[in-house]
Amino acid sequence: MVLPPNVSEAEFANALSEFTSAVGNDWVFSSDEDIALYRDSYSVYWGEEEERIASAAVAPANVEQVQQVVRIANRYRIPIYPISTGRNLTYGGAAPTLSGSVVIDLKRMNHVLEVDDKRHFALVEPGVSYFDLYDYIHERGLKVMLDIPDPGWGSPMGNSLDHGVGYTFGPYRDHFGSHIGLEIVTAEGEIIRTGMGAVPGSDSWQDFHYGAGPSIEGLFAQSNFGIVTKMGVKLMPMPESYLSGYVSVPRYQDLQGLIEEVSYLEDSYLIGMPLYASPVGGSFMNTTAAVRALMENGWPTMNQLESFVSSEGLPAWSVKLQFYGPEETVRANWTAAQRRFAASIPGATFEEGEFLTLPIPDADIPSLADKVRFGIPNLEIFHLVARNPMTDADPPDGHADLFTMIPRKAEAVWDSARMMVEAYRDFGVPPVHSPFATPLTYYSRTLVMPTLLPSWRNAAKNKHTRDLYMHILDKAAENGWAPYRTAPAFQGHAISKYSFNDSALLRFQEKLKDSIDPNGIISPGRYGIWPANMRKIRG
Amino acid sequence: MKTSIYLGLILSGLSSLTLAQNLNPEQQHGKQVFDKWCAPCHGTEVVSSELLGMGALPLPGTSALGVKYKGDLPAVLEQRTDLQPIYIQTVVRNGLYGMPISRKTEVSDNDLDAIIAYLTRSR
Repeated sequence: MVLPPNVSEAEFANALSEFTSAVGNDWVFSSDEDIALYRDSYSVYWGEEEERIASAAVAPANVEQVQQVVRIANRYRIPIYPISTGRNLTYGGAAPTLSGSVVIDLKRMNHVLEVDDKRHFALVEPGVSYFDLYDYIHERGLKVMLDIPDPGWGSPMGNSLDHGVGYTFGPYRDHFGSHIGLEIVTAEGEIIRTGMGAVPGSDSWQDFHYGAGPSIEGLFAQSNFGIVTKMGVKLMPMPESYLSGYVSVPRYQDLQGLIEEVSYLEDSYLIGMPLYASPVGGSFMNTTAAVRALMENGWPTMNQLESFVSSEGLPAWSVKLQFYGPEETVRANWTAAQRRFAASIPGATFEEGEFLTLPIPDADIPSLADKVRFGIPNLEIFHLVARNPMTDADPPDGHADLFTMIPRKAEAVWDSARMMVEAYRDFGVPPVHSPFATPLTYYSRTLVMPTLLPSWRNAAKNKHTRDLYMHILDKAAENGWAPYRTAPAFQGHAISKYSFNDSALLRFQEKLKDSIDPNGIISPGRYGIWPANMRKIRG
Repeated sequence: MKTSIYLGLILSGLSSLTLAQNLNPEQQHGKQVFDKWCAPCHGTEVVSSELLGMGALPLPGTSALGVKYKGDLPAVLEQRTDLQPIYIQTVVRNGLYGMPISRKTEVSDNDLDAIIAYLTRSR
């Protein structure tokens, strides 16, 4: 049995008894068997001493119970770790950042409180999954479209509060950016509502997020300043239609012009998520034999790359543009986009993709490719980790994602791909990136150079994954790049890269931590923020 | 051609109707839980993905079991007749490869018993 730090077995037994009084006997989990359900299935420390293990889990049913639980934890100085649906896989799952924490499992708070398809918002509790919210909207025929991350069993709240992302139209892909109004239980058990929610009798909590005075919402994402118990979500009105189109450009160096035009369209709100690819380079993480041969003698020169592209007879780069809106405007936007690319990139070619009327008819949904384009929750992303002919001999048990944020410039795409290749080679691992690696575009104003490393229920193999992950973090930071999100195992190291002016940002956050949560009970260590009484743990 | 597809749809509709009628209440509950928590990976649909650069494949869990069993056992869990209660319980509570653990606040012990009753019913 794991105990919370600095809490005796007798004190912990008393605390568990008080938790039981607060939430009921069925909703305090303290047997070894039940605690094991709060392990991170994709932990890179699985079975090792450093694996984050909870001391217990408590599952309140409502905000009042959350307040009671927080007050009990505060009295006993027990660290607590709130989770919403606990499905933040590759970023920690349901496991706490600090071993011995009591997980506050908010899955039972699963009410969709409101969806308004005239003012385009939802108000949800923590345990509402994307599946739940979609079903609520779909069953009522409400005319709004969700923007969702890959796995549908995650929650709008948990995903937003971990800066999660989606796949449709720019502002909606940034899930924290599209929240509107929070209800928070503080470390002392008090309830705060942000924005217009602070005005008694207001009916505009989900209409105007600032209210008046400083905004504090950002403090509750990727952090440990309180427990969010309600969240508003801005929703996109259901578009009338969807149109996709492909732009291909012939030369390696055309990537810069392509990115510039795509950025113009994105920042003008004319397109949804753009998807970059390299027809000549093969699909991401599956480079062709010809590209691997090109890389055998080190990173190819620009001349070698241009010669390779022209000899293969395929476009160097392409982008899939996605338009959402009335048929008249999506067709007009596609026409305007083609005119702009043709004017700025000689030899650019165009191909129209799919035109679909929205919402997608029910009968067409099961076989619909990439349902995330239309905010239809699913679990199809698990193809990434599912056993397949290539991994059949030794299937991985999970993965650790590393998404490096880079500016929207071709040079940054190439330099970050090269950094990845060199980092893999430093470890004797065949690289999965190449000079034709293409970036992801989850956030509309930045590019992401991603990599996925396997995680295992095997200590030796996990050590290799961890070492390579840390090595990539270090090499990225040498170039001024850093990840936007990572698992507890890497949070301290990732945050150490945000070190401008002797880590003034983190020092400021920790001053706030000491003031807001003086006993340091909420999620100690999350994203590198430690309370004063545990700061020595860092490093 | 059109007629045979139409006929196929009717027949599959009839067989699922018959199936639902033959389930006892616990098995019906098990099917509901299965549809919510298991079918998104272990269902029968075939999907493709441009995002993942992937042609048509069964759903991830079904696809993985197809690779694992290579035709010796059905890849679709609902077509299996050899599943043992302890095996189902172990996989749901421990996860297996990329399939994560399910907690009791998601799939309660009662739900899990119902899934087991549904998948191990005599046919």
